Amino acid sequence: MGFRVYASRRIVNTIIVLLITITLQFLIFRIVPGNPIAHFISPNLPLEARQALLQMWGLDRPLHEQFFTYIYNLFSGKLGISFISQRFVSDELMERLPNTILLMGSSAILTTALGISLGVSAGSRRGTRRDIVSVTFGLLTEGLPVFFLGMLLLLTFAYYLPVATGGLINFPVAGTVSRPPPTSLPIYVLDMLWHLALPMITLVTIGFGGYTLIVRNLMIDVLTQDYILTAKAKGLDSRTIIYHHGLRSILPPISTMIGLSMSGVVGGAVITETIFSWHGVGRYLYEAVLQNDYPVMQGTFFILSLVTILSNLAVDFIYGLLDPRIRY
Amino acid sequence: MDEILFVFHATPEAAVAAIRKGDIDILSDIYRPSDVEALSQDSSLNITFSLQTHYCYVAFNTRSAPLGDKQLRKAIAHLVPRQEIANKLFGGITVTPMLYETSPAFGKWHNPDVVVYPYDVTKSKEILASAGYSWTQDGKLRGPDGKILRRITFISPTQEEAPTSYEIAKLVVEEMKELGFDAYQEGVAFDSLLTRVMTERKFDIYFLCVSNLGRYPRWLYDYYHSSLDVPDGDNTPGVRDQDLDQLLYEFRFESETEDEARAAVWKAQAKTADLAARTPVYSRYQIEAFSKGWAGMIQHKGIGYFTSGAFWTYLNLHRAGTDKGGAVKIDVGGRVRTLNPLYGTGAYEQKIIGLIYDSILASDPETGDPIPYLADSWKIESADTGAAKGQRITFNLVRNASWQDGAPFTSRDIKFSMEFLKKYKIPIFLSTMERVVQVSTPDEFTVEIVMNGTSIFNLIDAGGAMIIPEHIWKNVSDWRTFQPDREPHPSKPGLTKMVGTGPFILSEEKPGEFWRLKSNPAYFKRLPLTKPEAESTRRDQPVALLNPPLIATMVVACVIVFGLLVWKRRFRG
Repeated sequence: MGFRVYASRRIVNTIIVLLITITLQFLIFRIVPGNPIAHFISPNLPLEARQALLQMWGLDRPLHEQFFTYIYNLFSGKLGISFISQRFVSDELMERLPNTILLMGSSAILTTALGISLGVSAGSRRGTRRDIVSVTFGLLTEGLPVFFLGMLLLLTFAYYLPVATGGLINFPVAGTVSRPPPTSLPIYVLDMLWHLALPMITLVTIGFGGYTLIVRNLMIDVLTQDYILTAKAKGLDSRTIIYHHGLRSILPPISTMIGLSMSGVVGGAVITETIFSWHGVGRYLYEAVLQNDYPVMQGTFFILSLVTILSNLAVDFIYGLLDPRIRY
Repeated sequence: MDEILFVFHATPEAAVAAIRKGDIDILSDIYRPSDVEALSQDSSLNITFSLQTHYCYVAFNTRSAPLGDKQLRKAIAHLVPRQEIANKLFGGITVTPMLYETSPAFGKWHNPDVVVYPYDVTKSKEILASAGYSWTQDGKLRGPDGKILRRITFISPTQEEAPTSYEIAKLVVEEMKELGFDAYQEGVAFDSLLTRVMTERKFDIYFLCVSNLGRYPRWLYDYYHSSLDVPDGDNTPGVRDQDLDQLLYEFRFESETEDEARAAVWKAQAKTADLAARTPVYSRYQIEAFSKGWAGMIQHKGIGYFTSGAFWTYLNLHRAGTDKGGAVKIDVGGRVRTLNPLYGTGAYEQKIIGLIYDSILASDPETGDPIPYLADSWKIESADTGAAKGQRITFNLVRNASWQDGAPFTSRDIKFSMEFLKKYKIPIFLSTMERVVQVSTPDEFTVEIVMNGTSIFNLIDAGGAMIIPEHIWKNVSDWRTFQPDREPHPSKPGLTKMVGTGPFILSEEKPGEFWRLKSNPAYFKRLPLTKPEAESTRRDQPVALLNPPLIATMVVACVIVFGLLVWKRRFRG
């Protein structure tokens, strides 16, 4: 079977998986207990007004009609209209997506880079102090609850230290930019990076340990292989052996890990976004789940599913490039 | 003020840190005792406590035995340990125990002469005994028929979702068990709880809170009229009392004068108190903090100084020692999802919307009575609306008001607004607009609104309806998805379509983060300012050198540095 046949099969499978996912997403949210109107229950909004809202949201229509509306909304590009805000879900997502991609993307890059480099370093120096320190530190930080670390960093660097140092060390308490933001573009960018620092440090600290441990174990396994021994016998330097032969061999599983984490780049991190008041997709989705805002849940999960499925597809295709042993 | 900047903080920790650090000037809706204590110790801040129309209650399902027995409900109402709840769960600071369903925050609408049920186990036993209940030898409660009472289930949110509500239910159940009830607490996911209570009516007892009940206890109608004893109606206990129905209807729809309305609602409160279908537990204070150096804030009865609805404060707020001008930063309090004035009903959205759009009448901050605003006078006459009695309300508008883009404000805008709200059946104005029969404009500054019914609330509702500019909204194809703050004004650069007649103009926003309002230079009101007070200026933040997190951080840093030095010396030679 050539690559073309393999690719066609994978694409068809992907479409089927996507359609099943879309259908399940619609049904699951209808089955889960909860009523979207619950968010509006208040004596100030009498019963007839609440019933009018349900009509406006289309929840009084038959299920199959709601399903067709849902499919139309997904593929029309607007992803539906939020019950809570009456805004197009796509507009609300586009408002938040840049913030989430900035935070999660930069954190993912740093986490991956740090985790892989530490893992390679530790795995190629097994049993040394570097290895022990990397593993210990990785395990410690991996086990830290993100809300604990985030809150500790926020209060320390955004409140106590600014007060203690008279503003010499002063990280922001909330937001993606200062309120009001600087008008000059370079200063605006710097201001944004300054606001990004604490949430990014939180995510990288929590996240790099997992990569470190996995890459370390993969490296240890790979470095015991015969071809590594052959490379050593050939007189290759250790740097070439570790990076050109060792790391190259473990790239396929690492790329799978990276591929699976792609949806997180879009989906956000609800706890970190909450602690740092970061206007992102994670918190948006969390609130939609609490408020039974079906269009938001459906639209956002559709995007996340799409990203996950396409990432997996891309990883499958990339495998052949990374590992020449793989033939279709 | 020249400028108001509303900013969003997603957690109370961030908001409290922001005000202590000086990033913001005003913080409302403080509810955690630890935050109140921390802010109280900050000498650069003032803290205020205001009664608000927030209300937490225990409700009984009167449809089934034994809770259909009023005496049993009264006995259980006497078992609610309100003071213990306030002290144990709220530090004795942030809430006040409530005995009245319509609290004193409602001012003249509150009837203080109703039967109340303070915590009193002895009284509870007396009520039960006199109602024919008795106890078995092992302390189990028996009904008047001699049979042991069935299990009574108290549903509450789960401990994970709402630990305070869970604990409150637990305390009440424990008290009930002590008295011999076979009481059981069931923690239920909040969504399921609402479904069981509101839709299915499958409950015995539940605990819930409501807030922002408005200035008038009109919600009593929704809570107790038998017509609302339907799935999703607010009469969850299932009260069906003809006399009460009559009183509530009279209060809500028929009272032509304030005295009539008051008389009806006071009698209704006496009835509901006697029925004991709900028993109040506590009401949360509106706790607000603001940095020293500000003056001109006005307490709004049942609301507070700065929170949503505290309109007059923002018209008068100024730096102490000056009579006008300045910029203030305020925590908005919660997520602002839309600034569409026809849909943004949340308290946080209203903080912003309420400063951009005016209404025909305003409310007196002390009494809540309607006072002239966009209308400087009005007249009410009887009208024949066909089937029922009605009213014609004639508003005489001020002549110097204008929209923020300079277009004149006239009676046509009011006619357009009301017809727009009615045509599209905008949900939040539905009950008001259903009563509007006709709107006419004899001239540019006079508008006549004919409404069904003769209630005093016709004036209040008509006077409080959202007034939107015809020249902007007549071209709106879908009012639901229209976001006036996101679309540029068609002819005025620098403005958006979010144009009102209000004292502030939306000048900048970053969605989800901040909203910047600047004062409207052409605002039609020139309000008397409060006398500048001799407030102390804001003190510099004291350097908190001895706080535990800082010490811990410094210790850890020292250990790391020392460890590195030792390692370097020992292993590197």
